[in-house]
Amino acid sequence: MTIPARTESRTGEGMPRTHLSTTAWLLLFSVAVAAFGLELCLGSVFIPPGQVWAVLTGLGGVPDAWREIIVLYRLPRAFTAMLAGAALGMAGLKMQTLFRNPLADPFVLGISSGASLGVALVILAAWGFGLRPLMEKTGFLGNASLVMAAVAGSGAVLCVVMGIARRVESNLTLLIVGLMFGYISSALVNVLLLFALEHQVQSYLAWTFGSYAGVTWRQLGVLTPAVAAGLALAGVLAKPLNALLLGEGYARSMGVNVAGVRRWIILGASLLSGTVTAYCGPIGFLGIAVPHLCRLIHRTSDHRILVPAVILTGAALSLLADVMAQAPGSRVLLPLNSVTSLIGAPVVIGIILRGRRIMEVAP
Amino acid sequence: MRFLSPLRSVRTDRRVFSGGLLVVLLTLSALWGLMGAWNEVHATWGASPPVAVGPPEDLFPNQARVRYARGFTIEYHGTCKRLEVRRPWRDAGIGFSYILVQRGCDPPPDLTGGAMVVPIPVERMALLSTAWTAFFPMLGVEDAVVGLAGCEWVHTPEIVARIRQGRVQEIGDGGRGMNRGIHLERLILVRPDAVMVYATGIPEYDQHPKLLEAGFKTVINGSHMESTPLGRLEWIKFVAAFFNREADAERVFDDIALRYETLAAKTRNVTRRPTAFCNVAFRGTWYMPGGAGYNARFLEDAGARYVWREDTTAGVMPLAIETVVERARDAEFWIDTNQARSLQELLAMDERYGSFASFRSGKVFNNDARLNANGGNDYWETGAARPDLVLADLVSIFHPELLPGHRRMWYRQLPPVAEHGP
Repeated sequence: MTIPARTESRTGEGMPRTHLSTTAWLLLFSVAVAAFGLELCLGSVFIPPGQVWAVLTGLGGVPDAWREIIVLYRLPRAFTAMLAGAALGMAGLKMQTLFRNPLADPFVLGISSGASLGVALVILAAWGFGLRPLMEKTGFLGNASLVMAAVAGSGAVLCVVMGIARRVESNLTLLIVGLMFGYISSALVNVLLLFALEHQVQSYLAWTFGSYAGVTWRQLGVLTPAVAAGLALAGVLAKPLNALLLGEGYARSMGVNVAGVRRWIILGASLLSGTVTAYCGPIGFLGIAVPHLCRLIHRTSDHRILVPAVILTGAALSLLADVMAQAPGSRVLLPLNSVTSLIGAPVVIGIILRGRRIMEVAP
Repeated sequence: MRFLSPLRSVRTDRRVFSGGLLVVLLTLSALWGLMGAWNEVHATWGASPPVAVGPPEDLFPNQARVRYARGFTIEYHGTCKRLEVRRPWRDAGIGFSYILVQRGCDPPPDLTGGAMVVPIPVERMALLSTAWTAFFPMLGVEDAVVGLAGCEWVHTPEIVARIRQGRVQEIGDGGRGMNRGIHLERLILVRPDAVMVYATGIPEYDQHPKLLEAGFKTVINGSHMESTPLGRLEWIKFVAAFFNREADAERVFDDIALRYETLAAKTRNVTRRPTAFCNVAFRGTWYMPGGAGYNARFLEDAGARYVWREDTTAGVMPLAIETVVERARDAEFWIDTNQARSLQELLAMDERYGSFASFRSGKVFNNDARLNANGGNDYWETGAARPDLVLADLVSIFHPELLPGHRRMWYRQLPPVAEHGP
């Protein structure tokens, strides 16, 4: 009953776009670049933009402390924000298309719960099971260990989900399995936290707040290729994703290997959300909001447009959220997760209430 | 109207009757109380001269005077003491009052409004924190400790021995840190006269509402809110009041305070004050002690220049990491690295720590030299009771020439790679 109505309303708006003008791309790109610049210039410590420029271009005459803040703290933070925003937006887009559900986000399959469980296990194991000396010897402590734990946790969940995806046809089943994983992991995490020491609880909570500030250049060395691979995979999948929008039966009739595409989509999305969650903590909101924003702004659900648009918008939004989390001029850091939701949710609500459709099912 | 007058007369009669009864009861109870006090005094002091019949203030000849602590007051009223806890937690809107009544005496009715009456001397006490255990042997009342949450972390030898003999029971629920709670059933079996707890004002963590509901004499100790080391130590007088050990508390406190002040005076005129900062970051946020707090006071008294000394925060400040980089990267000393037990572990937390001047020169110190097999840190236990020795550790770090040959108790310089202990 609703499908004819939708078609009518869309014909009223004109044909959905299949390409964007060069100006639109340039605009999007310059917003992202400007956000990157803001992220470098604004922070708790005031550094004049001229000095920031001098550091970036390798000019002299900048105090060592400032140079260090920009090179060791702000630059990696800005790159991380960019990568995380793009990755989460892309993972969200894939999940929403795969499940044909506007509420899907990068974490529906239990990826972030798996990461949380991994982190909780490592934080506790460091003391609880007497593994500390071993972990010290292998350098498996501190931030680095959290990251490895999160990768291991989300990887484990991913393997199980892939195994199930191979056996079950229904996406709905997959969705429910993911949900159940979420419950199991958060139950285990709560039990673990009960027996954790104060500082362990603190480090776990700090991780769940989400932050780009803890990522160092060395960690970027892992994060960057992982995210790049995930994004590249999304580019390759743009056409089959479009076909999936019309339903699996249609996609199959178009000659798409649905089962294979589904596996690649899950793998790519999990790679993106798993690595970002590992390094930055579970960052909410971006993953669900960025794809919607892109669809609404560009009035299309063509993945050939959405894939690059989501990358740019995700990066820009994530950078802007982090600038606000820095609360420039103050000396504190706000939890990133709170900022993304506080700023982003009203934006999405506003756009929806202006009468635009939240998700187009057909191209 | 006609019906009212007989009714009124009945009422009047009743009033007269109940008034008379009240007088009789009061007299009886006063007598009873006096006898009780007499017996109690005899029981407590044994051969000491009977004092209860004299002027009431004779009951507590040794009174505590509070000089440094801001969080509690103590008043003496003949047969009872009134303890006021003013700041049980940060930004607390309420305080707590305790009327400590000598066993056998009655609490003066005008004092008890809203206050909890605790009969003293307490013979069986349960503790929620190991932060106070060191006080008990210092007051000679270690036998009064019958329950403790967190037995596995204790260092105080007298308490450890009693745990081994089964005379101190574990009353914790197995939770740790902020999650540590009291296992009510175990506590009931321990039968304490009083339970001493700390409180945070956060209902999920606080134990006292549940304990009060269960009818335990629950006392909130707010020593962790003090912003000076001697203020924190002075809570030994708060503890002592429950055991009539004020004389011991005064003696112990005066002795330690004198040592502390003497040592602090030595550093007051040092020509060079090395700069120092504290703690580590958790994912971009650095929890730095406020400039008006406990740690800052220790550093300043030890002859260092705390890089946030002009700050007026008493608690901990969550700072963005770049704020700390700007101010502390050139500081000479790095004090307290939480869980990092070696320079290598510090780098594992965040490789950017390597660019701090203190890191490069290896002047990084942590208070973890005395951990027991379960990771309990004695700094928070004995250290809380011996600020003079903590100060000595710190002075020997910043100004070794002032304390030649000092062997540090809790502080140690971080080795490049951790030695494997507990």
